[in-house]
Amino acid sequence: MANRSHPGEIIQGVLRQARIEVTNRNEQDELRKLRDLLLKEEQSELDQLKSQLNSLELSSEELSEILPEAILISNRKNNRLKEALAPSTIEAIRAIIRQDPKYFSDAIYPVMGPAIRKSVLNSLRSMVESINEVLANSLSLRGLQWRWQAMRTGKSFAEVALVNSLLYRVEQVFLIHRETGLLLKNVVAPRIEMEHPEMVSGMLTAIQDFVRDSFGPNTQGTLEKLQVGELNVWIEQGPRAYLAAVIRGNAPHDLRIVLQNTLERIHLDHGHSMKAFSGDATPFEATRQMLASCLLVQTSTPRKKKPYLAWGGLGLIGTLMLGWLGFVGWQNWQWDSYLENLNNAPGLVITRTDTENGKQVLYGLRDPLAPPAASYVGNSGVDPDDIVERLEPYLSFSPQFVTARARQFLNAPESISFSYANGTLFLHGRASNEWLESARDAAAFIPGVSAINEEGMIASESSRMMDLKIEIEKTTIRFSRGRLLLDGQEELVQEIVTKLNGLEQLAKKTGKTTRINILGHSDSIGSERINNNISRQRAEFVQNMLKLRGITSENIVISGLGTQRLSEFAEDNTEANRRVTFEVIIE
Amino acid sequence: MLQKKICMLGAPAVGKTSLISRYVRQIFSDTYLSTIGVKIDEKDVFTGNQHIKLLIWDLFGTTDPLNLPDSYLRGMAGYILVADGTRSETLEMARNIKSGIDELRGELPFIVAINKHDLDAEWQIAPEDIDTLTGMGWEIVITSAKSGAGVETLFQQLAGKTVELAA
Repeated sequence: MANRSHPGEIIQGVLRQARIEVTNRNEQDELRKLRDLLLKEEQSELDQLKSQLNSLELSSEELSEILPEAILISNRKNNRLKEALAPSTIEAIRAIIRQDPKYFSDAIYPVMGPAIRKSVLNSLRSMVESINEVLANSLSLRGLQWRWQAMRTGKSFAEVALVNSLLYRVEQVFLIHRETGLLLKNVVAPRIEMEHPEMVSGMLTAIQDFVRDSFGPNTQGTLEKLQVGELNVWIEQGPRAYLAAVIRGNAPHDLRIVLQNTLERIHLDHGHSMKAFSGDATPFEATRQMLASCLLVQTSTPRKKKPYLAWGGLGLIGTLMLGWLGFVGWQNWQWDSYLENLNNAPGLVITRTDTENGKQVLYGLRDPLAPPAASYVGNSGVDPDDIVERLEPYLSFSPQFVTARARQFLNAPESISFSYANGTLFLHGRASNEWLESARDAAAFIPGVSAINEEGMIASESSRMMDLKIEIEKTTIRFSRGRLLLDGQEELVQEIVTKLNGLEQLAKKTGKTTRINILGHSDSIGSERINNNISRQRAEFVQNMLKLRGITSENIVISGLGTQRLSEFAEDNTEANRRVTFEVIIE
Repeated sequence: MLQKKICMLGAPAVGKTSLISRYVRQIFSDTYLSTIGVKIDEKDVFTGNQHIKLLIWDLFGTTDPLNLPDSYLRGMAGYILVADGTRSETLEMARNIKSGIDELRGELPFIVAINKHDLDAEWQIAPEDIDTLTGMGWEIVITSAKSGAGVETLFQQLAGKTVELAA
C-alpha cells in the first residue's frame, strides 16, 4: 500500500520517521545527561558495589560497613529506598507473624499497649460525655449531691457518679514470672497478711494454664479475672511476667490501665532480668515502688460520706462539750452549795479547797464533836466519796459544842439538858444529888465554861417524892354504905403502904419531912352529922389498915369531911362519894 | 534466696504425693491434684550457704509426659522421677517419662526416687537394675514415705543440681 502512495506522502512519512529517530536520539542523550547529573555519585558507587559484589572477598564484611551509610544517604536524598524496601518488609513482617505471632506481639507489646489505650480512652471520653448528657437531668438527692461534688471538684458529673458507685481496695500485687510461675516480687497493703506468696504464685500460674489448656489450647485469650466472693484477682498478662492484683470490692476499669502501665514499665526496665531469670528474685526488689503504686484504695465513697460524718462528729463533739460544760457548771454549782452548807455548819471552818486526783480536798478545822464534812452533802448532789478532809481538830465555843462536850464530860443522864451562854452552862432537868455534886466540881474543867447555873435542876430524890405524892393523892379507897371496903380496895391500900414507905425513905435522904392527911368522905344521903361521922370512921378505918401494915408515922392526921368535897365526876348521892383520899405535904 | 520450680513425675500410685506430703509446706489441698492435675507445695532447702526455696509442682501420675500439660512442665529447673520399688514396671515407666521430658524440655537435672522401701518383702527391684541406671548417670535415692528415709536427701540433691546448673 505504501508503494501506491503519493510520493509527497512518502516523503512526509520518511521525514516524520527521521524526526522521531532524531527525537529519540536526542531524548536518550538528554536522559543520559540527566542521569549523569542526578545519579552520577550513586552510579559510581553502584559500579563500585557491583565490582565489589563480583569479588567474593568484598562481599559481607565490606558491605556491612557500606550499606548503612548508603541507606542513610539514600534516605537523605529521596524515598526511593524506602519505597523499594516497603513491599518486601511488609512481606517479611507477614511471614514473621505467620510463623510466630507471639514473637512479634512480644516485640511491639511495650509500644502497642499505650497506643491502643490512648485511642480507647479517647472513645471512652466521648462516651462519658454522652453519659453526662443523659445524666444531666437526674434530680435525685444523690444526683444533686454528686452534682455539687462535681461542681466543687471540677470533674464531670458522669465521672463523679461513676466514682461514687465504686469502692475497692487493692490488697496485694504479685509480679510472677511467666515461664516458671515463680514469684518475682509481691507487695501487700498495710494490715494485710500474706503467707507463702511463692506457692500462691505457682498455683495462680497453674490455674491459668489449666484454664487455658482446658478451654482449647488454640484460644488466644488468657485468664483475666478470678472472683472469690468479695475478692477479685485481676491478672494482667505480659510477655515475660504477669501481674496479679488481689482486689477487695469493685474496682473501676482504670485500675486495669494502672496495672498495664506498671507491667509495661517493668518489662521495659527489667525485661532482660526476666529473660535471664533462674530463681534469683533479687533484681526485682527494684519493682517494689512500681508495684506499690498499684495498691490503690478507692476512697471516693468514704469521701462522699465524710462531710456527714464530720458534721455528725462536730455535732457530737459540740453536744458533748456543751454537756460537759453544763456538767462542769452543774458540778460547780453543786460544790458551791455544798461549801455554803459547810460554812454554815458549826464546828467546821473551811479555809481553802483544792483538787487532787479528781477529788475535792478540804482544808481547815473541825471540832471533834462535829460530824464529818462529808455528812453535809445533803441534797447538794456532791458525792461524799469525792471529798477528802484535811481538817485539823479544834474546840468550838459555839453553844451546841460546849453543851455536847459538857454532856460527854459530865456523863450526863438523859433527863438532863444543857444550854450555854456567855461562859455559863445551864443545867435543866432531874438528876440525883450525887451526880449534881460531882457535876458541880467537874464543870470547871469544861473548856469555855466558867460558871454553872443549876436553877433548872431538880434533884431526882425530890422529884421522886413529888411523883409519889401525886400518885398517892390520885388514889381513892372506896367503901360500901357503911364502913366496909368494896372489893379490891385492900390491894389499893397495900399500894399506898408501899408508896408511903418509899416516900419516907426519900424524905430521910433529902432531910425533908412528910405529913399525910387521910380524908374520909360520904355521899349526900342522910344527915350531915351522920355523914361527918361515917366519913371520919372511914378515915380511921384506913389509918388502922395502914397501921396494921407498918405505917406508924406520927405525922398522919385523919379528918372526916362528910360531904364537903363531893366528887366532881359523879352524882352526889352515888357510891363514888363513899371514899377515902390522901393528901401528902412535903416540907 | 533462690526459687526453683521442680516437678514430681511418675506413674500413678507410686506414692509421689505421700512421699513429699510430710516434708513440705502445704497450703493447697490434695483435691487440686485430682481437679486441675497439679498442686504446688514449698520446701526450703539449704545447700552450702545457699537458701533454695523449691516450688514443687506435684503433677498427676502418668506414664507419658505428653499427657501432661506442657505449661505445667514449663520453666522447671529440675524434676523428681518417682518409681514404686514394689512394682518394677514403674521404673521402666520412669525411663519413658525421662525420655519424654528430654524431648519436650531438653535435658534437665533430675533425681530418681524408688519409693516404698518400707515394703521390704514385696521389693522387686534388683540391685543390678539400679546399677544399670546409675551407670547411665542417673542419681537414685531409695525412699520411704512411711519412714521418711531418703526424702530430705532427695530434695537436697536435686536442689544442689539445679544450682550447679545455674552456676
